[in-house]
Amino acid sequence: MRGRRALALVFGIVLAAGAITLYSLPQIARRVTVARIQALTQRPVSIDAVELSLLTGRATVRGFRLGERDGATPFADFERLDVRLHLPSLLLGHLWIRELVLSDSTVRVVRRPTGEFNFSDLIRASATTNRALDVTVDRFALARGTVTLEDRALPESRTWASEQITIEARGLSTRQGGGSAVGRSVTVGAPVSVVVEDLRLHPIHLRATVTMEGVDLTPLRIYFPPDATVVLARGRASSSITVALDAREGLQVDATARFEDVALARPDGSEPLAVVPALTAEIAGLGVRDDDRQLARLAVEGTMSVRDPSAGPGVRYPLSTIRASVSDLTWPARTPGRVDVLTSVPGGGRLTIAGTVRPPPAASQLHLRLVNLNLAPWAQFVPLAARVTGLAEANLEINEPLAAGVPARIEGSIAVNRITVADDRRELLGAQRVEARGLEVHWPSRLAVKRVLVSGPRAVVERDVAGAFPLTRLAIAGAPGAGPARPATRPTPGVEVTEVAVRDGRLHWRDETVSPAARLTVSNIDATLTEVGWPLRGPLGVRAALRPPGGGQLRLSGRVELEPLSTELRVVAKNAELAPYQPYVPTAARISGAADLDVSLVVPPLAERRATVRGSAALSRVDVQDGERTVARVERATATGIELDWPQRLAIGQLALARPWLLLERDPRGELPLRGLLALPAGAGGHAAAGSVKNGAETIAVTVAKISADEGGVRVVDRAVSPPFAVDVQPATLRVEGFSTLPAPPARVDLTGMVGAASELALRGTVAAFGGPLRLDVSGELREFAVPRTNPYLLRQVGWQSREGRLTTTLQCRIDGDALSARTQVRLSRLQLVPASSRDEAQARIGLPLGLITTLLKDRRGDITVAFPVGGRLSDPRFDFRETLWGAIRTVAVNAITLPVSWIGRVHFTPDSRIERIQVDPVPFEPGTATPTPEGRARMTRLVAFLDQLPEARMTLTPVVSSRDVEEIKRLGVEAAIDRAAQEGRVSREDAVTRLIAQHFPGRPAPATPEAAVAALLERTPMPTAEVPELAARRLQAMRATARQAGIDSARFAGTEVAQREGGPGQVELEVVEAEGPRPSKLRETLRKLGVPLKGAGE
Amino acid sequence: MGAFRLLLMSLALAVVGGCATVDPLEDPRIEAEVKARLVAEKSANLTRTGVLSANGVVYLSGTVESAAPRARAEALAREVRGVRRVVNTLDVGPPPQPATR
Repeated sequence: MRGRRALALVFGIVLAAGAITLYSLPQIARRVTVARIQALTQRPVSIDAVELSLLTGRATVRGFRLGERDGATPFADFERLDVRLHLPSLLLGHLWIRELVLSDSTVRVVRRPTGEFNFSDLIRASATTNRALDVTVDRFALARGTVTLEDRALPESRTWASEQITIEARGLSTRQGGGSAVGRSVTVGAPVSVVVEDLRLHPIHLRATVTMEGVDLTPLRIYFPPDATVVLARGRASSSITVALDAREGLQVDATARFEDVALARPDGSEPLAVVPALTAEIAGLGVRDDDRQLARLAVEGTMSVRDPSAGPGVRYPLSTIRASVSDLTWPARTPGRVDVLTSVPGGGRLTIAGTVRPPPAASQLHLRLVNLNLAPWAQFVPLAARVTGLAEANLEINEPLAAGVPARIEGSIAVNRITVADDRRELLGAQRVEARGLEVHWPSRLAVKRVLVSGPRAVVERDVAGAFPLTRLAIAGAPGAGPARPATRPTPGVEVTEVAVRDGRLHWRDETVSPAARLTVSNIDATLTEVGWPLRGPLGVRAALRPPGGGQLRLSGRVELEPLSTELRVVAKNAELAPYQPYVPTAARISGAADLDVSLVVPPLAERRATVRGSAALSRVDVQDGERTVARVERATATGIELDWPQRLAIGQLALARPWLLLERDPRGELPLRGLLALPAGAGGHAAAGSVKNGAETIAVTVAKISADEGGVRVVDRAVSPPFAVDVQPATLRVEGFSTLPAPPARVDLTGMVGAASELALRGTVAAFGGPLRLDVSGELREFAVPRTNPYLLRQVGWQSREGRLTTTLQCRIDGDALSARTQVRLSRLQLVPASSRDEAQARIGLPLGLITTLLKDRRGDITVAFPVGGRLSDPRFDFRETLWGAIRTVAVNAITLPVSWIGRVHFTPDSRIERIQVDPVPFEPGTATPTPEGRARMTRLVAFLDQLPEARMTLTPVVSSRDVEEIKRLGVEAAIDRAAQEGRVSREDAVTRLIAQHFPGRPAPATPEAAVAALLERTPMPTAEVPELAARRLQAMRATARQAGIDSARFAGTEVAQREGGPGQVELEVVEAEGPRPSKLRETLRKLGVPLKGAGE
Repeated sequence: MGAFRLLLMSLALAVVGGCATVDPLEDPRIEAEVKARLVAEKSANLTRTGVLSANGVVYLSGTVESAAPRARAEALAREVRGVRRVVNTLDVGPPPQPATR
């Protein structure tokens, strides 16, 4: 009994304990579960309630919530989980869930800005958890499930949702396969179904098929890079993906996807650039196992059209077919794979990729061939506001082991044929072919190209009136999606090009900043650049040859450093034409010619603003024209020993000018066209000091050791005088030594030449400091210059003309600063002057007619030799060279005339020092005779000397018969009558007188004395009218006879009318007159008077 | 009789004209005027043309670019008063060469 009672007690206790346990077991289970999950996930977990039924093995979990680690954000929750267990199997270590039903679950997945998901920590934790026991789930059902994906890695956070998830799974177990599951959801608005078969939980094994229908792809545009030039505008996708996952075999995926109505457009939402009506992609045998991936086949087939940028809106190229397949690929490569791609390219072109891919270290062979790819449709994806056309082709071979990433070495070429870049008006850039060979890719750090060959490139570079380059706007203003500059988001791979070769290039330069606009074309450009790379690594090797504008050849070789910009180049030019650069010559003169150059140019970094040039240069056929007229020309100018140290100095060893020629012209208005022609227009820069070159604020010192000009010429034409003056100075030779704009010893100048046909010019001396105050000390000589050539000036200045004459003059001129000191010695030979105007400037200024002056200045050889100084201050505003010269001439003339005139008389002056008249002492004669008095003989002697020394001088003789001469003639007549009467009457003289008195005075008593009788007879004697001219003639004859005896041409004495005077001596008065000019032909004069036209008639 | 007088007059004029000597002033003036006209010509490049006048006969020398300026130079020379004849030895060739005078 006692035993029964004890047994009942124990049973009761056990029962009570069991009841208590059963009562508290749910709470225990809830706490244990929460604690366990928290331990596993390190996240906050809460469960509202747990219901257990040990007898039935059922359990219900209500209100499960798993949060983020922050404790505030929910991660997953469900309202109810019903579990029915097969309890006995637990005793065997087998968790056998007969049924697992989950309702109203929500999982919130978040992709953080770092790219990490909010469940990443859970995966890491689960990876370390070993399976503890077998699990079998007979049935799993999920109803009303929701999964959201919040993507915070996007610029703007976006949340995707897969809703209405239902899953019905059966036979899930870690012990055996054969499980299955069917799931459905609405994901991003599209129905998605998943069918899983042959499912085993562990090791995992399943085969699943995921089907999506009509998924809108538009939301995916937010996954395009923010700086993408093209984004997804619209599109739908349907896919069927079969996945076979096995823990040992890995993942096998077969998939088909169909994309429909996919459109790509610019971010601004404009018309789609490319439209894919339908595209099917098929993936077969995509396997992923550990780190190995393999792809049995990937095939893409579909159509695509691209907008035709050259046509109107909505116009597209015809649909292109795309067909590509890749087979037997492994990655990293282990087994040979086959790649086969054949596709036509929208807009034109065909792409084929074929080859095998082998696992390393074996080499893989791939051959990519792209032909006739029309760039035009694709240019719209290039950030250029330009039409780009061309046909691209590629022929690439890969034959080397494939490592991870892009193949390192790609042999072959990429080329674009007939590429053009045009704006809305015309082509700007183009090339027949651009080809890159020997590609070597080290992705993403480096791209090496062995050679880039650009054949037949051409470019049009314009500078508009504002100085801007429209070409640059193509890449700036017109870039699609252009906006504020964005920071670089991707590293730019370095590019190295061993050699860039340009063949037969052409560059058109159009510059509208000058007027007329410059049009320059550089052609035949052959260039080679070596060591080209980006980022810059070092100097570029440059070697180029080209045809400059207009012709010739230019060669460059050396190095060019781009950062900072500096160069070391040898520049060789031959026959480079100058004329095309005319728009850049800031004068009205047209300049043509050709340049030869052989210099070494060194430009250190530009910031240093200096450069050096060494070498030689030459200009050929330089022609400076005023309209059509040549005003200056140099057949060749050669500068050797050039040393230019910009901006300090320019030194030239020798400057040789061959056959320089210059037109010095004064136009009818008295202006020098050459000055206006070469003058810089306003605003084109200040006037440079003589011999210096201005560079901004600095002046370059110029020195030339030797300057030579051979066979030079100057044509001097003065059309400001009438008739015009013209003379050629040719040939002329110039030598200059020591030219310098610096304070330096004076330069030696030596000039010789022929003036006109036979006149020699020589000028030599020194000229100092071309850049400073003028210091000049030269002496020169002009020989045998034909004076008649100066008639235009003689006529204008003095109103005379020269018929003949030769001028020889020597000049010594010194200018020191503004002080002029010059002395000129002039010798005029055989000078013949004739008046040609009513105004005689010489008479006005000197007092005598120019003809008389020259007559008096001529020596016995007929030469005029005078020397006169000219001096003054050039800076003195009162200095007038013309007046100074006239003053010197007057002084010299007066001095030269006064001396010889003093032999025969005297010069009378006006108060202002002009010659008033020349008085010649008359030659007195004995009364009534042609016998000079002693004084008359002396004067006659001086007169002969005067005429002998001045052979051009002529005299007019005026015989003066005085009353004393008449008295003497009468006396002699009376005496003769007395003598005749005495001889006839044979009486004495007194008787003869008496008889004559009686005859003449009949009836008058005879005078008391004989003298009175003679006086009476003289009174009665009439005037001797015949004897007076006879006396005058005899006196003139006497003077001419004296002159003849002295060798003087008596014709130089021109007689005039006899003058009779009361009182005074009988004499011959003289006046100096100028020489007579050559007399014109009497026959011609006669014919002219008859009105007969004559050839060669003078003025 | 009238014809005979005309013949005599023609002979006389020919003799007079042929034997006429030119004023020594003329040749320098003619030469200068021809040069001045050639230089002043804007439509052709004649500035470097060589000019020599002897007894009213003007000799042109040098090189011009085409036949047109050659003819123009001759015409300009003929216009100068006192020119009896123009002997045009201008060559037509590429670049003008410097004249001898």
